[in-house]
Amino acid sequence: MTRKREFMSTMRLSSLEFLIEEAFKNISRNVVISIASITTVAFTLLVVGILGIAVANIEYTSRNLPGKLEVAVFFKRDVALEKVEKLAEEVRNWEGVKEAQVVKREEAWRNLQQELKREIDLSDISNPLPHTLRIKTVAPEYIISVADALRKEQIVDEVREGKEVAERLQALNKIVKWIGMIIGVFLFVASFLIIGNAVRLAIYARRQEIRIMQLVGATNLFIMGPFVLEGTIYGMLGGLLAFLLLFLAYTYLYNHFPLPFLPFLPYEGITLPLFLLLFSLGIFIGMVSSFISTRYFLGRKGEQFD
Amino acid sequence: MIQLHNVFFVYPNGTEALHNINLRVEKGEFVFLVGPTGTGKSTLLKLIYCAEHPTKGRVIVAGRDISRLSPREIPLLRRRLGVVFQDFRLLPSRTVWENIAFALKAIGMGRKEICRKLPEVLEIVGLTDKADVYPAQLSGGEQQRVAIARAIVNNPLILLADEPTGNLDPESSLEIVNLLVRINLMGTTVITATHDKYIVDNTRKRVVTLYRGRIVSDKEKGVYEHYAPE
Repeated sequence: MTRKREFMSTMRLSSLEFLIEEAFKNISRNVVISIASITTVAFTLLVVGILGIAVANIEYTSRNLPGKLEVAVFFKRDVALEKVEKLAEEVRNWEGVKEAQVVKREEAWRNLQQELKREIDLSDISNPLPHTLRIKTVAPEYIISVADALRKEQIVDEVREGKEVAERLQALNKIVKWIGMIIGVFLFVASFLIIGNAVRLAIYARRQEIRIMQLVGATNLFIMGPFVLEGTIYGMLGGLLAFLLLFLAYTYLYNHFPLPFLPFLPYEGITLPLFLLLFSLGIFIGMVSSFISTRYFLGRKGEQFD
Repeated sequence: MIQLHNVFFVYPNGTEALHNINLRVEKGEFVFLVGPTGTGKSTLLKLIYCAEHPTKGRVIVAGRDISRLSPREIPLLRRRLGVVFQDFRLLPSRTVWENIAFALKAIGMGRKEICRKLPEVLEIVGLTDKADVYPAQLSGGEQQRVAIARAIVNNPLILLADEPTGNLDPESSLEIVNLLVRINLMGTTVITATHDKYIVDNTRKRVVTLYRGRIVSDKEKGVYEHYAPE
């Protein structure tokens, strides 16, 4: 029993050794193709990473635009405070609403008088202001929907929102995401094809080996192993390369070009997610494309022994 | 050891390669499969090592019906067979030792066992002093001996040789056949497909003659007879 287990474990170990040895032989045998594959993946993931950073930054920026992302609701003059407070209570439960603060007309009037007391004396005028409600949302995309919903309320006279900023940011976000998706899909297909092709060339270059392996009774998985590992390594290195380039570029920009009106997302916050994203995507691309092309070429019948 | 029952084989393009073949090879036998090129010898061997499945009929190897063996089981069958070809099929970028070791690594064998088996098999084929030489530096006969070593290193039950002397001069051819006979004497069943009259006549073993996909004669201690139908 123990002897058998020992035998099994040495078999596994030697299989692993074979797998790694053959995969690295492939990679070093076709240096040009290997470099081409790695750079393609790196380029793809670089674009993915740039778009990811752009989206993250746009979201970060819009979340941090101070005070501008507010909805101000002015009620009709004759509306009672209880009704306003009731609505405020409701609004607080809406999706995307962070806070809703009621400003009584007396309070608003006092503030205004305070602000303007050096210029004009307003003490003998009766209060012209309505009750107002100031709403903050958790993200800019909610501003428009919240404002539109409030316009439908009977007791509301006027709604003002930081509309332009919100709309622009939202549009920009959408455009970046769309461009990202389109470019991303193209590049994904490209890297699938290029890794698949590299693996196919490796298979073609090693068709004699494969034939012999099939002849002496190697299992298909055993034959596929080195090729899939090869593709996975390309993907992995491509992901790593893309991450390094992006990281260096971003930290450089972050440290050397501080933009006062557009706060950059601090790089500490994006390093880990970016790394995980690019690395795992790289592995995914490499593994899947090489698996598919290996499967395809081993599965073709009839060319095994002729 | 090997039985073919009413075996037919038709290639996808419609060519009939084998027609109603019935053949029985016992354990430890040595059989020549002879006949002109394109007569179905290679196809018959392919059915035994499962590169093709019969269109009709049954093929039984070592007690197992392999006519419809699933792709997952084929490797296990092949581990009990050895196959050599006319063109040797050695890997040019690997030495003699590496070529033979490759066959064992490919089925997951550990280094220790490989190192134990290789010297034995190199001794059998007489290439002990050529272990670190590349195939291109060897003569045709020596290359074929490497291929044979690779085929028998895992102690197969059956050795199949498809025109093993097709690329060799008469002297080397005879050497190769003598090696096959020696392997046969060690207990391996050997089937050699050939159209080389010289080696067949000089060996005097069982001769099965194929002609246009049919067995037309089967003789113990036979010679190569050119079959000409009336």
